[in-house]
Amino acid sequence: MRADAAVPEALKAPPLTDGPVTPASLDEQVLRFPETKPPRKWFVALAFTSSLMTMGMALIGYTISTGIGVWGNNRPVFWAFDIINFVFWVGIGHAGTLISAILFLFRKTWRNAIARFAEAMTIFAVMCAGLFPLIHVGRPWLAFWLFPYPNQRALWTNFRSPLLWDVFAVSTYFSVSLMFWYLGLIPDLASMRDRTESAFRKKVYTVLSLGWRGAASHWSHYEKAYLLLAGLATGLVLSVHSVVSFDFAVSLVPGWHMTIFPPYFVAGAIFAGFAMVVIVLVVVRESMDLKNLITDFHLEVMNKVILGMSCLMAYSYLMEGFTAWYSMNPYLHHVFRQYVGGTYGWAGLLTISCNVLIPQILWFRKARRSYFWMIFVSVAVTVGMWFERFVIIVISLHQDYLPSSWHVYKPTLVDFGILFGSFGLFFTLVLLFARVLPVIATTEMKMVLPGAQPERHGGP
Amino acid sequence: MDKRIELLLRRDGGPYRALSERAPTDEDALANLGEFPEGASDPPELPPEGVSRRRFLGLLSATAALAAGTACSRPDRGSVVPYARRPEEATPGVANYYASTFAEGFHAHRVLVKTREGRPVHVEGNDEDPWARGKAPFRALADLLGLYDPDRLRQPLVEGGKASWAEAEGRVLPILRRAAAEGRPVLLLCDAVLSPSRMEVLKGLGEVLPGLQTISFEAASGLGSLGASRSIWGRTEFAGLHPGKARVILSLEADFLSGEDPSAVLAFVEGRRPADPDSPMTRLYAVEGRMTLTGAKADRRLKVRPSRSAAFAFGLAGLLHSRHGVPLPAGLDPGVLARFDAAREVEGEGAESVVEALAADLARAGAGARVLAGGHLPQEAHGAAHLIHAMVGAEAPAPVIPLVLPASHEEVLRALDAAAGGTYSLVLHWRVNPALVFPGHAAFTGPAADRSVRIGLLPDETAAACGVVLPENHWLESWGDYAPGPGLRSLQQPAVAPLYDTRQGEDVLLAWTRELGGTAPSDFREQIRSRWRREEFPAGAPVPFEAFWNSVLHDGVFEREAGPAPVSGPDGAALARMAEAVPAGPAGRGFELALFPSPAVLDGRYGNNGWLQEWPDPITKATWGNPLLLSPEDAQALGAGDGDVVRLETGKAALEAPVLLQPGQARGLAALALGYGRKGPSVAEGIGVNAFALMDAGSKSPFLREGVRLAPAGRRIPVPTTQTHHRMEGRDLVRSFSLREWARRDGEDGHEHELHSLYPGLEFPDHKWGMAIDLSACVGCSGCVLACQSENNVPVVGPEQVLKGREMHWIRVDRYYEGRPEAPKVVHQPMLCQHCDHAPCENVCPVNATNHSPDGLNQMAYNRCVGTRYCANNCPYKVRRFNFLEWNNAKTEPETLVFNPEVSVRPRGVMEKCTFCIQRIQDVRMRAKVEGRAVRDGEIRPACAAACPAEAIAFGDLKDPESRVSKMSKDGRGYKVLAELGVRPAVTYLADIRNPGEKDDG
Amino acid sequence: MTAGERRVKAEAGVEASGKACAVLGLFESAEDLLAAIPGLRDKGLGRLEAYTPYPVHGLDAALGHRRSPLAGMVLVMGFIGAVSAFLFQMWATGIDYPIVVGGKAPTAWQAFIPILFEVMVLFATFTAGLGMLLLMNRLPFYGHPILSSTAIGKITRDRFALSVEADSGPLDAEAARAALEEAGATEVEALPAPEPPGPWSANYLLKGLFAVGAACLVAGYVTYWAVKLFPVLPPMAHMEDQPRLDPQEPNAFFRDGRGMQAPPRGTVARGFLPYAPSSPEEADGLANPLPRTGSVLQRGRKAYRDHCAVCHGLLGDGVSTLTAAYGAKPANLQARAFRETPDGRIYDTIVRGKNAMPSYASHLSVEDRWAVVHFVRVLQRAQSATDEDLDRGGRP
Repeated sequence: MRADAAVPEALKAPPLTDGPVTPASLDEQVLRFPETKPPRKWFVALAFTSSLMTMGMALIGYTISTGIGVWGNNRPVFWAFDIINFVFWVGIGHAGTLISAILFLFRKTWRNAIARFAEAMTIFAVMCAGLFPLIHVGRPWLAFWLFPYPNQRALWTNFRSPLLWDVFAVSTYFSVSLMFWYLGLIPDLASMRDRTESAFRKKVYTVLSLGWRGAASHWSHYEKAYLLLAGLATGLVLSVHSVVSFDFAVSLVPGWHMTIFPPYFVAGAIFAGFAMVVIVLVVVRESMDLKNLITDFHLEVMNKVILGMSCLMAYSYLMEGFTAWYSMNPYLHHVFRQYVGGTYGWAGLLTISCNVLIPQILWFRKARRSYFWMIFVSVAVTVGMWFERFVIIVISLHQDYLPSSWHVYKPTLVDFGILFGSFGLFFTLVLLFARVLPVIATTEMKMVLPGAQPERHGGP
Repeated sequence: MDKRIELLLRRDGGPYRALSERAPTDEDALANLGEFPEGASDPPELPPEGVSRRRFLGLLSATAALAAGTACSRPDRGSVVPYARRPEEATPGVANYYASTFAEGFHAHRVLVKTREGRPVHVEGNDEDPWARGKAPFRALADLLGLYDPDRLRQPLVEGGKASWAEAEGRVLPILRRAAAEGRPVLLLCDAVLSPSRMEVLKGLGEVLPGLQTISFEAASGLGSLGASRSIWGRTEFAGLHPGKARVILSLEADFLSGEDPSAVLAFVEGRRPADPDSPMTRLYAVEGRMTLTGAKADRRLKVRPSRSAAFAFGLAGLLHSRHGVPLPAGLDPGVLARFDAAREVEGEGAESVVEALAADLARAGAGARVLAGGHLPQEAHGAAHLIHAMVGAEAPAPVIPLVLPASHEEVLRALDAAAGGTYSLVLHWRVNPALVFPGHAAFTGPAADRSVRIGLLPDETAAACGVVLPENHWLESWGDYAPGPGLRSLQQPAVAPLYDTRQGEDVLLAWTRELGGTAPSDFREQIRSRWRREEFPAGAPVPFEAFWNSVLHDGVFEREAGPAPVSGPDGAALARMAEAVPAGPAGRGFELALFPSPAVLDGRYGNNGWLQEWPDPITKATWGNPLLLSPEDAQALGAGDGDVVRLETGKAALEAPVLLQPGQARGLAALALGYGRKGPSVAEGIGVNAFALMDAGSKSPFLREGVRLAPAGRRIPVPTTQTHHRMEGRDLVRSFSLREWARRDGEDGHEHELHSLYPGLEFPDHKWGMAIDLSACVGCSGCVLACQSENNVPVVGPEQVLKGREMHWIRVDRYYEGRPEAPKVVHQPMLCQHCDHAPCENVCPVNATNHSPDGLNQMAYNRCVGTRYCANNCPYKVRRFNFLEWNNAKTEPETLVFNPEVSVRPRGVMEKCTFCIQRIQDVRMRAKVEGRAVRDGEIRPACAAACPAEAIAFGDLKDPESRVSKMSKDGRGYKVLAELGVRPAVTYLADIRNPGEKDDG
Repeated sequence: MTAGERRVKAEAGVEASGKACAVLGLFESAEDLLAAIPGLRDKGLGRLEAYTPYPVHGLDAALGHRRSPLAGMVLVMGFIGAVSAFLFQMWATGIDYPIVVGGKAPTAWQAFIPILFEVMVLFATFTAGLGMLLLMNRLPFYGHPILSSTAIGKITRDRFALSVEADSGPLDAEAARAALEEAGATEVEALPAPEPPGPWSANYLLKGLFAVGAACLVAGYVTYWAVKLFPVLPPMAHMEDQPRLDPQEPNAFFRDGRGMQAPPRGTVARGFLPYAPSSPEEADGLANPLPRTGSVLQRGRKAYRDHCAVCHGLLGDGVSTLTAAYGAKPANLQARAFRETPDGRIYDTIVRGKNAMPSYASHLSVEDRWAVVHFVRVLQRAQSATDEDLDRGGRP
């Protein structure tokens, strides 16, 4: 227990907070936000994002009333922005689950400060993702046919279709993330219930906190359940993006039909997700003045993860290229030449530079700790990962087996409008979350604050 | 034994009586008859007593209809309207076929019109036709849409305002009467006349209208051939474009494989289906400037500018004489031919050897040789063709004999000038559209126009100019008879009553003839019948004329012994004069412009037909317009790429058109299709540019112009093409070998990739439908595309959508260029759903909308489809089509009437694709079942197979080892496209075999 | 705050609720809490429960809690989820509605794995989450006295509470308070008995959870009707209303308002050569082209019974079921006059009709008509056979 005397300074876990933080001060700092009126800049931001969202919704309405033809999709590029955005957002979601589940299993206590936010982002991202499969079908009003429900045609769905696997994977992922998030919220909601002055809020928090009273017997079940959920969520998060990658890997389109896709997609997802988390965290800790809880150390660790993932991506790209070359498959060779040359070569090069080259800057401690560089890298990674999906989907499709049906794809304004609309939706939800619910899991923080645990039970 | 019979027997005492007792006596027999007074039939309105039998049955059917109506749980689907008195042949839901004739220019094609509930829904070839053997030209199929064209004239117009026939004719007849009385000239412009009865109508009018000047005129066909045969043989006839049974064919710009004449394609491919590398095979030489389907199919193609093809041919004749000692006809001095050097006219290296080979082949072939010259060539070229025929002793193809001598553009122009000058008291434009051919001519403006009458189908340029417009029947609503060629007569009968208040042009003229005091039958049908009774009805026939007439109507064609082909050697002197008229020496500098009739809209008459506008040109794959075709080298020199607009200037005329690079086109040649740049009707309007403006009516071949100047205009107009990439990228998609290459790879060929599957193979209980396509026979004419479009309700999407790559054709003909762009090898490959056993599209559909039928079809349940488009992504052949927008449901009558009732119309958001015409499969299977027999091989013919003039497509049961498709699938040339993917397609392609001859082969 | 005031407050709390059944003591830190537990356990005043703002390590051991059984439940439910998912896919695809897709047998199971996994995780996670809340912790439950106690605000922030609760038998509140103060509790509070669980408490929710199963069945039927009615609303029409023109549909485009048009006069459709004779007399010359074989007679018999017998009677004697309802009496084909009419004339009557009898041309194909003629002859022969016929067994 006290063995860390032998541990050299460099390897010691740095303090989780800057300056002294007591449970009381923590509550005071974090739980007051829902009680206080948001600042003007919050309203400005909300106005901006929600108008983006409204535009996106309007364009979706236009699409549904007129037809997919208002997009740029054509033959042979039957999928484009719609599925790109879907894969992109599902990917963003993965960071949250990773932080809350996998890092929890690894007993990385620094996760406690950011887990709540990351999980919320997971849920919002999956909501954005879920939008696209719904609206991208030709007859959205019949999308409910993708669920195997009893009907008078006695028809079932095709359980062999990766799209159906998606339906199950994504819906499971959403409900599990939601439950995980809510379980974490319950004790915090209880604290808010007991500290709030307004009768109305008290009612709401009472109901939401399910009458939580922090009994020791409850805590023991609670911790067990949380552990189990973390374990299951870990398996799930790996499976979800693997299933998403099956949409491509299981088909026979050259450039899609690749065994490396599942791990490659998961890595990419975590990569993009962390970038997004960094962007949001920086904003949050600055605007909500949480520097002492979300410390530079947190950011640095996140950036290290991004760096590692970037190297993993580089490896994936290399391996993908190698397998393509080694396969001796002329169709595959052609597609991979198109990735870096041809009509859309720029997209491939952009992807590589954003996902592989730019993040290398994070090798420098300075960059890992400077807002400018980490934002720069994170934005680059977000863009890069979006274009990676563009490369995989559009470039692979636009020149497949028969040259006679090759055709160039041009997106329309509607395509872009809906893409930005989805960002609007995401950030609108983030902003609302930041003001109505505890942005930091106070209970989990209290657990790991110095002196929180009795000496002989491994407290710090 | 039937219960009621027993009762009846028992009633009159049971069977135990002497039979004599039971025989009815004459009395009661008479009594029975007596109770049946003549004319006691009961009119439905007043039944004798109780309910009449007819009423009873009526009620019965009504109840049934009601029951059917109410039985369905859906909201009311409307009422049921049965036939009041059903015609014998019309059974609801069952198709009828009417033999008829489709006339176009100097050709009359024998067709079968498929009708449903008395409404034409499809057009096929007439299987009784001895020449085309059940094949129809693709434009005949497509013009079905013209019948239901919403732009059609629906009633007469006077000064652009709607009017009755009485009013309209009230404007015309007084003028005619005066003209008849005073003998003042009246001009009648009409299209080619191949109908003897129509001829008589014109004569009849001429008799009562002495001043009538009839000009028959085809805007897009040249008269060089006519001129040649007149000066050489003294006969007014066109040399037919038919390969016959020739072993060596030389085509001078003659696109006889375009599919416009199915019988020519049929005859050609007969010699092009080699069973093995040693079997004899027809050899085709093509000498042309523009790349045509014939050139694409040729074994040897020589690039010669159209203006020089005469010189080439004469040079070839000279070579035949000098090198192979083939005698020249009397009166033609070898010196005249010595001026020409065939090889020098050819662009590119290695011409000499090919020309040598060509001459040798022709000399060797003798009677088995045939030289065909394109219609737009000057008469010298045709003369040269005749010369070579005469030299080697080959007989010329059966001629086409116009009944009215067609006028040249120059004559028409003169007539129009006169009309503008007020010479004629009345100008009749019947079917022809001169306002398009001579844009801005004075005859279509001012007073002359008011004195002009238009008899036609559509509100086109001429109709817009004319004071009185008389709407004419569509050919599917008309009667007619034709003399397609020596020894063949065909009848045309309407497949539907006129949809609007329209009349047949002949009927109008007959009525006028009567008005002017002439004697004419009541209508054109009577005219035809009387003529047939007089002229066609064989003397001493055992049957009455009525029976004869009906049987000819039934068959559609009537073969009579052709008159003996006139035998007269060519006039050597005339040939010499022609040869001297041709300048020797190589092609001059500067650009040469070749105007050619568009394969889609011809001279513009089909401009309003969406099917044809969107039909990809078989060579360029361009739709919706006429890009300027340039050879890649010239385009590069001009600094213009695909879609860059170029300005053409010829003398005073000039226009701007987007460029399309055409590999294999002769240098210094610009080619532009006629028939575009219309000012109406709605579909045709503003599509492409009007190339007639560049025509030189004065010159002897108005479609060829030299000294054309080209300059980039600095704009771009993207050309909507259905194929944007033209090379195979070294992929094993279309196999095309010469005979010896085939011999070389024989044995190794036919081996298929070793394919493994995780799953046990499928079992097909009774049938396994499959298709085989012989690429050696396929000429790429793309008639199948239109047949499919008509059969399967395939929508038209318009140029913008084609540019986006969203056209909907279920079958397409892929065209690839191999080798050097200046001399490419062109191959075609019809591509349709391959109905794979291990269909990748089926795996990925989340709702099972596409799955496999027990007889091996990859079937598509439209109304289960939610439109994820995953299947289309996963289709390696990219043959699935998605309704990106709503193409169909906004349509109303008459457009909706063209829909095939046997195929559901797909709304937006739904995936669709080739079904192997499952409606036809089921139809035949049902018939077979009713007749208690098995389905016969070849009985089921998908629309594409039925329309293919080359019989390249075979469809049938792969489980039946004797079926044609099974045999073809096992052929040594057979292979599957992308077999290595292991999707196990049901379509087998047979390698394309060429026969370029010994030298520099492979 | 002095001990006296504390006591007063505690009493007040108890007054409010009648009898105290739990006494609560607050501690400053987890350390103090853990330290206090052993002593109190020895006293055995009642069941001990601790309330903490966050899980405190070692508390379970100190209080002697059992290990949570959640893990086992999750394992079982996960297994059930996996198995049921697999069996359902197998049944739906392989048994209930077998559809061949991509050349795979309907029962090919390989592709069912991903969904199997997802459903397994779904079952497992919901067991873990809901099981913990509803089963183990009996939450939600808003009726617990500690929620209304003054201490709770401190507990959910940073204080640690230990409560002595009535176990079996009544609680000695005084002793408990004394013990807690002795153990170093900074504040002590007596709590009343819990209220009975309200409608939103776990017990009811649990029952509700079992109702969910039933709800699923109901939902199944609801969707059944929903999709039955839903799809007919535009734009959900499943292509029933086709823009194409189907047989027997009315159509305003044509002058007569009928979708079905009659062929133009004088045209001849393939396979329908018009009937040649211009008058019944001409028809006399026609000879019956069909042989008098068994199959032909069978065919004639069927056609006759379907179309003719309704008036002419099964024996051709004009006695039929319709006779009563029918004005004129139909012809008796047994009469000599008809026995002597030539085949051609009978055929002509079928095609042309006669007097009251309409044409049957559109009902009977040419072969059928001639077969009927044969059959009529058979009827006549049978009805007016001679005794020689009998001797020859009816054979001609």
